[in-house]
Amino acid sequence: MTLEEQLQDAYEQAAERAPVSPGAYDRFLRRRAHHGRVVAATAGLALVAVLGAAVLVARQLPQEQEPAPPATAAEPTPRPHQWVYWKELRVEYGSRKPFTIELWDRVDGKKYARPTSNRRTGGVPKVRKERVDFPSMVSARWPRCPPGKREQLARIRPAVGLGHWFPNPAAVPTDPDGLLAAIYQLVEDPDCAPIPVGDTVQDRAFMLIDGMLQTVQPAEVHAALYQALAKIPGVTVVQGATDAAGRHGVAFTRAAAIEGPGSSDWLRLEIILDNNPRYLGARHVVTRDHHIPNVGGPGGTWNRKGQVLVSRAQLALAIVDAPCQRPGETTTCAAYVETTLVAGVSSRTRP
Amino acid sequence: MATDEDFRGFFAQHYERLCRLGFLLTADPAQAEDLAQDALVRTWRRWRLVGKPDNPETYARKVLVNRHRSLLRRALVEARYRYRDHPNQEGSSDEHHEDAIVLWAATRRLPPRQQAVLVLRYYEDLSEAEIARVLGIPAGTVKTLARRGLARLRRSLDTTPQGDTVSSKERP
Repeated sequence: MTLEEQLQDAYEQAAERAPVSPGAYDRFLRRRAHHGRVVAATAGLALVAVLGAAVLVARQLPQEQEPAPPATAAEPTPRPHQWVYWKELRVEYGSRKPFTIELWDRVDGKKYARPTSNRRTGGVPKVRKERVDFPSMVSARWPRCPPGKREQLARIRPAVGLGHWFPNPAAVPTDPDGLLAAIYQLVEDPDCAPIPVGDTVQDRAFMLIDGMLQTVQPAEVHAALYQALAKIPGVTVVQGATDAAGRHGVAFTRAAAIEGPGSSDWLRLEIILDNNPRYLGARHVVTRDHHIPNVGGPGGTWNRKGQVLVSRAQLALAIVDAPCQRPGETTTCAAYVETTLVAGVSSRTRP
Repeated sequence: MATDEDFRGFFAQHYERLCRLGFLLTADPAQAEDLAQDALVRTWRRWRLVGKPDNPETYARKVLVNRHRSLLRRALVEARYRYRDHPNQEGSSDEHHEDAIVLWAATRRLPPRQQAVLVLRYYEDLSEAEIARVLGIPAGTVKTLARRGLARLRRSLDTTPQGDTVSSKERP
């Protein structure tokens, strides 16, 4: 090993020891208060919970479902060491251009991978491995979930199937009513729900199903989820919706507190499906003019009715054999970071 | 004008990474968080007052690294940075792991700019041009600092007393 390689290795190992304590955004807000206007701390916290959830969802939990629904039924059960590939196109209000996100979750849920630049290596394969302490990640993202219940969340779960959300997936009914009842039960406690946002149980269930639909599930579970969606009070079906990739479908829309407590008053989530039905994408739409004081500038920020804060399109969902491998390709990305979730620092070992 | 939502997203995405960078420079968890928080507060101010920086991640990194350097200049501060390794920690019997920690400790004895260049190059994977932008120095200087840093590291490892050294069999 050259000194350069040793150094890379040393930095990577050392960086694993960097502790990230919970409540970072809250501390940030307090600190920022000395420099200027502050957002209400509670709103900020709730939001970071949303973002945290989104990141979690994006990282190791959901994102699983085949690109084409007919394949779902025909596919053999993914093996634990295969990987779920997920790709999304995203357009965000105020950002200059759309961007795509690619992620790989190992089927057993213990690892995830994301591509990085191989500019410095000139195309030579470069893999960085790091470990993240899952329980402390969970504590940071569900700060109000009491110990005892938090352990449930901190259990590393498979990335495919209902076992990802439910402690006992075998007991979850796969008929629409039964499944919806089980989902309601799962999100009943706002502090410990898998998606720690949403003003009501129905609100949380609606957003959770959005996540579930983006994952690899047996065909009958997908079918039940689609039907359950329409059974949630307040959901309306709108024809002629378009996702971020320009694909047309039907939107299931409902008020949703995507941006933290109370935001269901001015925001709705549109889940867009095609006729198959297959999950296409979603949009976060402002439903009435809304002013957030002291944010984004001296005059605050106005969200105008009809504004689309986020528009996304799921471009791919597939099972592949290796991290950072794309469907139809036999090789992996030249450079990627592979993260292993561990429970407790004491389990740290050399990769 | 960027909204606060943009910044929240940015915060969620980059906070951990900045903490790790701060930790590699300081070896002190509290100091690392402090640097990351400080960098983000400053990035937020810039964002709010002037608009979103072209590359907010680079901007935040720049603030963090520069802030660390100016702190280092204060002589007494450095003592607080010493990482107190736990000798009984699992894995300390792992020779390879031990080597890595010794090497990392050696980087922290380098002059601040050399240290920063090595971290940005070998941990953050930045190109010379990007490092030059972060540190506000010419690309040629980056190259020189990297070369000197590595050379000094090599020397310091060779002269480290027995028992605290990288095993020489591993080095070319």
